[in-house]
Amino acid sequence: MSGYLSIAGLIIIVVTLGGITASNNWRFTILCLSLQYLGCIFLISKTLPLILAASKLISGWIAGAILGMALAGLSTEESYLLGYAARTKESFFRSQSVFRLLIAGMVGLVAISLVPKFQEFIPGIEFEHSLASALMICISLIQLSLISRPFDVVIGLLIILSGFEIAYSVVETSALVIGLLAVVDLGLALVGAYLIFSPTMEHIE
Amino acid sequence: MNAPQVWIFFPAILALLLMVFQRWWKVGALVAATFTLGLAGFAYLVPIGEKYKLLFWNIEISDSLSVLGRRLILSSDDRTILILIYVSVSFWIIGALVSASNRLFTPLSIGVSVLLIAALAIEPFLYAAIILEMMVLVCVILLIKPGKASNRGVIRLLTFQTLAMPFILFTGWLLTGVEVNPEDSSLVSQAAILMAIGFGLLFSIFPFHSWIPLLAEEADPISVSFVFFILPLVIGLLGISFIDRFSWLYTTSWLYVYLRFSGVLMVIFGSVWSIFQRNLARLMGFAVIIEIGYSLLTISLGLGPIQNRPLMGLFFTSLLPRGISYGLWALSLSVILKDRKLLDYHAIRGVAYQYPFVVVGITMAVLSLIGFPLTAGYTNHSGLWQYLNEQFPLAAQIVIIGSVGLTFGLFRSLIYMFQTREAMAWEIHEKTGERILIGLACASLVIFGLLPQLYTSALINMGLSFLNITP
Repeated sequence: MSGYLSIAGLIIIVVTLGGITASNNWRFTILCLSLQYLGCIFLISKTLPLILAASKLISGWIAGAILGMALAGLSTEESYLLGYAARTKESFFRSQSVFRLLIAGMVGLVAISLVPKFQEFIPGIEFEHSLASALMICISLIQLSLISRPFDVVIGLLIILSGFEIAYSVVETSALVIGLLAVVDLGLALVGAYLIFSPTMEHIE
Repeated sequence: MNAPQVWIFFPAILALLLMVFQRWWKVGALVAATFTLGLAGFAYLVPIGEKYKLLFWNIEISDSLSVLGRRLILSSDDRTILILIYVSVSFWIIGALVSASNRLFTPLSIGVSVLLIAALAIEPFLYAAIILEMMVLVCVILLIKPGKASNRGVIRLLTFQTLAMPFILFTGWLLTGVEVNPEDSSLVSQAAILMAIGFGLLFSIFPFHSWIPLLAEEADPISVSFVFFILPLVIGLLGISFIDRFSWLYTTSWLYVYLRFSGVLMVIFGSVWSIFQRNLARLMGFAVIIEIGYSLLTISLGLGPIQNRPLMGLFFTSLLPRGISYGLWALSLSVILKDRKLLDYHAIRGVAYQYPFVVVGITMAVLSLIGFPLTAGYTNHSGLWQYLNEQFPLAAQIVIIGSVGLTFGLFRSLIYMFQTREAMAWEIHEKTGERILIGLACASLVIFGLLPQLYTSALINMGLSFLNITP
């Protein structure tokens, strides 16, 4: 049963990574991120007690909600000005998205080639865990290098941390570490929300 | 009562209160400056873990506090660090108050210092990497004023420092494995690579340094200088503790090569680029890169055999002149920025005739940072050059030449500051508070330069007690 869960988790992560990489719509990105945390819990629950793994899911969803609320709080004008305005359906598969997907595909191949090294580096890590972790870290690094909007950067960092936590949960099962990493996820989302919202705030000397 | 409550939780509560009462931020800044100075004074007067009579009260402060099964420990050995941190925070809060730069500065700077102390106090040590990340998150908010858009420097700072955390956590896990099995060369090399990347990201070693000049150019000078001082300080202290905990680590030769090569690289890089700068704030950024290089070199000197450990004192003695110089430079920049709106060389033409105190402040700050004789930075620099020359002469020569780059940068900026299209009369446009603070900082750089014994022995003892070496 847990083997099926791991495979399901891996599939969810791969699909959502593709979605986040191609998307220019923040609502779709946050939806993918939320689903991705579900994939993460499927994988992490194999190495950690379910209660602890659930904390990752909850913190991730709250992080998504914080970022979503920040962007939803922007007026239409501010959204356009800051570059967060939703794209139309026709423009979804623009050349930019195709280009990013192609790069993600190539980096994904690199990540697959890294899996044996990962397994050598962390004894006891399973194939699904190492592949999910490598894909999340490698593809997010590419995303970080391509886009510099605060929202995308924070999403990229959250995914990298999730990828790291999947691998780290194999070697470290302390509740406090998992709790603190959840706090870091939430802190990143709060900082992201502040960076998104900051230009629209009133500046008082 | 215990030490973590006094020096971590009480200031954290004050920071939260100041966030709530932002409306009265000037009063809040005065209260915070007094409170942080009080905390520094309390750390100076009251020994930790011993009974002490303070006026009419007998008090005893225990050294540890349990939080969720982990311990925060602040022992008597940490008192000098507490004094240094809280005096620095107080100094910057007063600077921010005088320059009226950012009303969020006071609560956030206290928040940063609280997390800094928590990172140094937490046991097991590994958790420090996560607390450091939280500190970086607070720093990011500190660097972006409400109403301003995020800039490339802040985004890169957030990215690099966040990427460092996983590397440090994995390094910690690997190093415990290496301790059990030191003969496993592949494990050692994996730990070494992860540690080099992790600390490279944290210390902003080339090529991860790019956020420093960008941030210096784009963000508020006072906030930036505070981050430039605090972040390398805490990373340096954590790095020293990290290396100190694993006895096999400081006996390996690659660590010295890494530290010295990185240090020399940073000095060369910062020095060469500071010659070609055309912006006063970016010049400060490159001076910071040079200082990080010096820090790496001083750490490399103090590692290794026990007879070398007192040389780690150089790392600690550099903190005071560096802190004053950064603060002075930043205050001077914020005064110019309020008037000229830009810090490009073409925008600061003739500034010397209107803001003479500011020009003297910048000059003194740079002279101290390059180790000019009779300034506070000289004692530390001459020590570094001397001991580096004994152990690694080539690095010493490069570092001395490195100081020349920043000197050229200073002279170039001075040319522009004195350059005018038409004759200008000398005026003083600085406010009284700015004049007093700049004057005090300049005077302290000279006094500490003439009488280095006023601070060196205290800071050397701090370093030695931090490393658990009896002076």
